Amino acid sequence: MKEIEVLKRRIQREIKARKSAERILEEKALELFSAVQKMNDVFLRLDSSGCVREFNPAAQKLLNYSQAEFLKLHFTDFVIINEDNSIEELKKIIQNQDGTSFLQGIQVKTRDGKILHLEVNAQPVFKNKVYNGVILVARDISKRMNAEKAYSDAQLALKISEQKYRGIIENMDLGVVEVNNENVIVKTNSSFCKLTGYTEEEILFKNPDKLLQLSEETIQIIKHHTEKRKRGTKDIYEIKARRKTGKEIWLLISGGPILNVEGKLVGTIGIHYDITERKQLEESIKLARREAEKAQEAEKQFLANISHEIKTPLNVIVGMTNLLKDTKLNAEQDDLINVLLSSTDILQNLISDVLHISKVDAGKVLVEKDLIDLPKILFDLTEMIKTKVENKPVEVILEIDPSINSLYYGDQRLLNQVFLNLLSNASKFTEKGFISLKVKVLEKNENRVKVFFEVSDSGIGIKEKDLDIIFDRFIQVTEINSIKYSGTGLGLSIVKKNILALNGSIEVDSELGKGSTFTVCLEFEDSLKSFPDYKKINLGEEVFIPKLPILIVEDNPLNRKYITKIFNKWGISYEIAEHGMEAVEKVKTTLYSIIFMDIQMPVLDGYKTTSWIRKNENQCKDAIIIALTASTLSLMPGNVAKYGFNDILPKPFKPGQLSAMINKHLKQNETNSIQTNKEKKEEITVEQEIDISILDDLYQGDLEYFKEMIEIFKETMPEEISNLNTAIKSENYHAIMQSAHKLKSNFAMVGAKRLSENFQIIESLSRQNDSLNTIKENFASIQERLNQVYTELNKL
Amino acid sequence: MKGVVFTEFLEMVEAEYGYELVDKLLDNPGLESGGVYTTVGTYSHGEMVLMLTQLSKEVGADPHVLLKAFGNYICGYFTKHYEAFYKRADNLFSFLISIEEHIHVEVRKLYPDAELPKFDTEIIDENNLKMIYSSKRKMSDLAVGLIEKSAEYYKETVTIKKSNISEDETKVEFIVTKVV
Repeated sequence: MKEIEVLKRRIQREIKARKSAERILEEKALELFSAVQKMNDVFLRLDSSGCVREFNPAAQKLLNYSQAEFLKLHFTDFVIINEDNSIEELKKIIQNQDGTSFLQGIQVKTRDGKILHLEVNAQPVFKNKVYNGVILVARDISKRMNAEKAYSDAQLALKISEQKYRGIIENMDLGVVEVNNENVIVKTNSSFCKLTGYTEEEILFKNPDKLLQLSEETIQIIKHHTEKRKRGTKDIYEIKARRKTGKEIWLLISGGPILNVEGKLVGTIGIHYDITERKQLEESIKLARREAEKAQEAEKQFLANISHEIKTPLNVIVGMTNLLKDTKLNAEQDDLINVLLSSTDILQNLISDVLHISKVDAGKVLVEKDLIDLPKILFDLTEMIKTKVENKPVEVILEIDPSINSLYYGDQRLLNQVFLNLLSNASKFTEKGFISLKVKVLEKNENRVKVFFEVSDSGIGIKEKDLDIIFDRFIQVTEINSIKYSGTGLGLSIVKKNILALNGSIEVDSELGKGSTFTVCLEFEDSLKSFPDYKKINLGEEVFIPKLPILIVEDNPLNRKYITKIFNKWGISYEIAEHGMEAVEKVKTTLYSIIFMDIQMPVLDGYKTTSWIRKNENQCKDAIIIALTASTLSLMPGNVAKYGFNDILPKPFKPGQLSAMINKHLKQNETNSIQTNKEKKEEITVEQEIDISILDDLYQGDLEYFKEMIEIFKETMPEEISNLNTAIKSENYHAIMQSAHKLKSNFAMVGAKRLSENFQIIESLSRQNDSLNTIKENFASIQERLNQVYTELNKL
Repeated sequence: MKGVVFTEFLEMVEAEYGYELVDKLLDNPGLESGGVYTTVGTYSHGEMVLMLTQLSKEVGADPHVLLKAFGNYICGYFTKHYEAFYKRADNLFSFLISIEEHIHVEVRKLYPDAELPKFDTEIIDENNLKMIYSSKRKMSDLAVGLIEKSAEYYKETVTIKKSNISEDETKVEFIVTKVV
C-alpha cells in the first residue's frame, strides 16, 4: 500500500513538474520569439537544403517579399554568390559541425533588385548531430559599406590628385619648399634642388634665408610680404638670392600658410620660380629703350637743323646760278648754265620731298584740323589739271557726291598734296582719253563721314608686278627716261604716308596700256553739328540760317507774302523793301546777307537798283544779290554777272529751290570768311614777302651792298614786269621764260623768296610751252603782292 | 539554483537509495516548491540545503561526503549535455581554467539568473594548480567532486587538497595535483 501511495505521489510530482516545465519553456519561447520579432536585425532560419523556414519582420522589410513569398524562398534567391564565395564554400563553412558561427559580409539582392550589404552571423543547427539548417542573424551595413567605399575612393582620388599636382609642379620647374614655424625646411622637391644647386640633404633642416644667402634687405622684403599675406592678400613677389655656387639668381616667390587639421598654423609653403633670365632680358630692354630714346632725340635735333642747313646753301646755289646766267656768257657757257639750272630745279624738288617725307616718318607731320570745303578743293585741283592737259586729247572729269554739302574738318595741305600728286601723275602718264576724280560718300555715322575717292585715268598703266612697290620710296616704274616722266619717285610714297597719317587707306589697280585707278578712303568729321546755323526744313533738306537778315525787294504783295511766310517758318530774319528806292535807302545803312531782287518793279527796277548798289558806296556793295524773275528770256544764269547779280532764281520757285539758293551762296561766303580769317592770321604771324634770313646769308651784313641792290631792283623791276606782262598777253612763251627768269633771280636777290618761286613756276611752265592759264594765275598773284614787296623793302 | 541540480540530485538519491527516500525528502514541508522540480525551472538554494541535511540524517552520511559524491554524479550530466565545453580544453588544467573564463560566461548568457561560484584559477606548475572557490552557497565539496570526475574525462588522475580560507566555508582553496 505504501508503495502505491509513493507511486501515486511520484506520478503527481512528475505531472506537476512537466506542466511547470511546459509553462517555463513556453514563457521562454515567447520571450525569445518576441525579441526576434521586434529586433531590427534580420532573422532567418534556413533548413538543411537552404530553404527559408522562419523569418522575422526585419527580414521581410529588408528583402521586400511578402509573407507567402518568403516561405518559398531559397537562399540563392537573395544571396549574391560571386567567385569569392561559391555555394559549396558557404555550405562547407556553414556545416562546420563544431557549431562555430561566422561573421561575413554578404551581398543580397532585394525583391526589386536592389543590392545591399549584410553583416551575417550564421549559426548552424544540428539535430541529433546531423546538420539541420542554419540560423542567420544579419544587419544591413550597406550605408557603412558605401561610406567605406566612398572613403576609400576619396582616399584614392586624393592620392591621384596629389600626384598630379606634384607632377605639374615638377614639370613646371617650380621649386617647392615647406618650412615649419621655426623657419626650418622640412620638405623640398627636386626642382628646388635644381634651382638652388643643393642636394636634398643639404637643404633639409636648414634655414632658407641662410641657404639662399639672402641679404638683410631681402629678408625684410620677405617679412613684409608674409605680413601682407597674413592679412589675407595673395602675394607674389621677386627676390634676389644666391645659388650654392654663389651665383646670383632672381626668384619669383609665392608663399602660403600650412595649416593642420585644427586650422592651426604649422608652417609655410613656398613656391619658387627662376626668373633670372627674364630679369636679364628686362635689363637689356631698358638699355635698348634708352638707346632708342637717345637716337630719337638726335633725330629730332637733326630734323630741326636740317631744313635751314640744306635749304640755305641750295638757295645760294640757285641764286648764284641765276646771276651767272645774266652775265655775259658765250654759247657754250650758256648751255652749261642751263643744265645747271634744270638740275637745281630738280634738286630743290627732291630736297623738298625728302624733307617732307622725313617729317612724316618722324611723325612730325601734325594733322591739322581745318574747316575745309572738300568739293571746292577738288574742283580747284581738277581745274589746274585741266590746264596741264590742255594740249592733249584728255578729258578731265569731276564727280562729287551731292550729299557732301557741308564743311568738314580736315587737313587741307595734306589733302592737296595727295590729290595733286595723284592727278599730276595721271596727267603725266595719260596721252589720250580721260582723267577722272569721283568722290562718293560711303557711310554717314552721326557726324563722321567715310568718303571714297577714285582717281582713274586711261594712261599707260602700271605693270602688275609693280603694283606692290609703286608706293615705295624712290621707285619709278617707267622705263622711258624723258623729262616728261621725270620725278623724284617720292610722290606716291608721300601720298601713302599722308593718307596713313590721316588714318585712311589707298589702293591701286591697273592694266598696262589701258589705265590706272587709285582708290582712297578717308574719314572726315562733319562740322555740321558745330554749325548751328544750319536748320533742317524738310526731311533731308537743310537751310543755312544767316546771321544777318535777308533783304527782300519785291513790289508784289502776294509774292512778298509767299517768301516771308517761308522765312517765318524757317526762322530766317528778313526786311522788306517794296521797291528799288526803298532798297537803296536800306542798303545805305544795313548790311544784308542776301538781297533777293525782283526785276520787274516800278520806279526803279531790279537792274537799276542792283547797278546802283554795285556802283555806289553802301553797306551791300559786295553783298549777294539774287535776281528774282518770272521771265527767263533776257536774264539767264549765264549773263547775270553782267548786271551785277550773283545768281538768278526764276519765279515761281519752290521752297526747296529757295533754300538751295541760300545755302549755295551763304555757305560759300561763310567758307570764304573762315578761310580769310585763317589767312589773315597767317599773314599777321608768318608770311612776309621778304625773308630776312636769306638776306643775312647773301649780304653777310654788308648793308651798303644791299642798299645798292635794292636801288637797282627798284629801278629795273617795273620794266621787267611790264615786259613779262606783254609777253604773257602775246602768249610768247619764250619771252615769258626769259622775263620770268630774270625776275626770278632779281626777286631772289632781295629775299622775296615766294615771289621768286612764283616766277620760277612761270619760267618752268613757259619752258614747257604750256599752261598759259596757270602762268596767268601766278602772274596775277604776283601783281597783287608787288606793293607788299615795295613796302617791306622800304621798311628795311 | 537551476532545476537541473535538483533533478540530478534526486536521480542520484533514487539510484543509490531508491525512490522511497526521494519521496521522503520531497515530502519535507519546508520545500516551497512542493517538491516539484523541473530541469528548466529555478528554485531556492535553501531547498537543496534542506534536502541534503535530511538525506545526511536519513543515510547517516556526512553532508560534505554526500555533496562530493553528488559532484561526481552530476559531472556525468555535464559531460553528456555540455561536452563542447570539455572538448574545448586539451587537458584538465586548461579545462579548469576555462570554467570561470569561458563556461560560467556562457552559462550566464543562457541563464542570466544562474547562481554560480567564482573560481580564481592559477597554474602553479606542470602538475599543480590552485583554485580558490568563492560562493555564498558553500558547496565547495560539490566542486571537488566535479573536478575529480572531470579529470577522468581527460584520462587524468588528480588529488585535491581542500583548505578553508574563510571559516564559514564561503571561500575555499583547492590544490589540484596530478597523479602521474
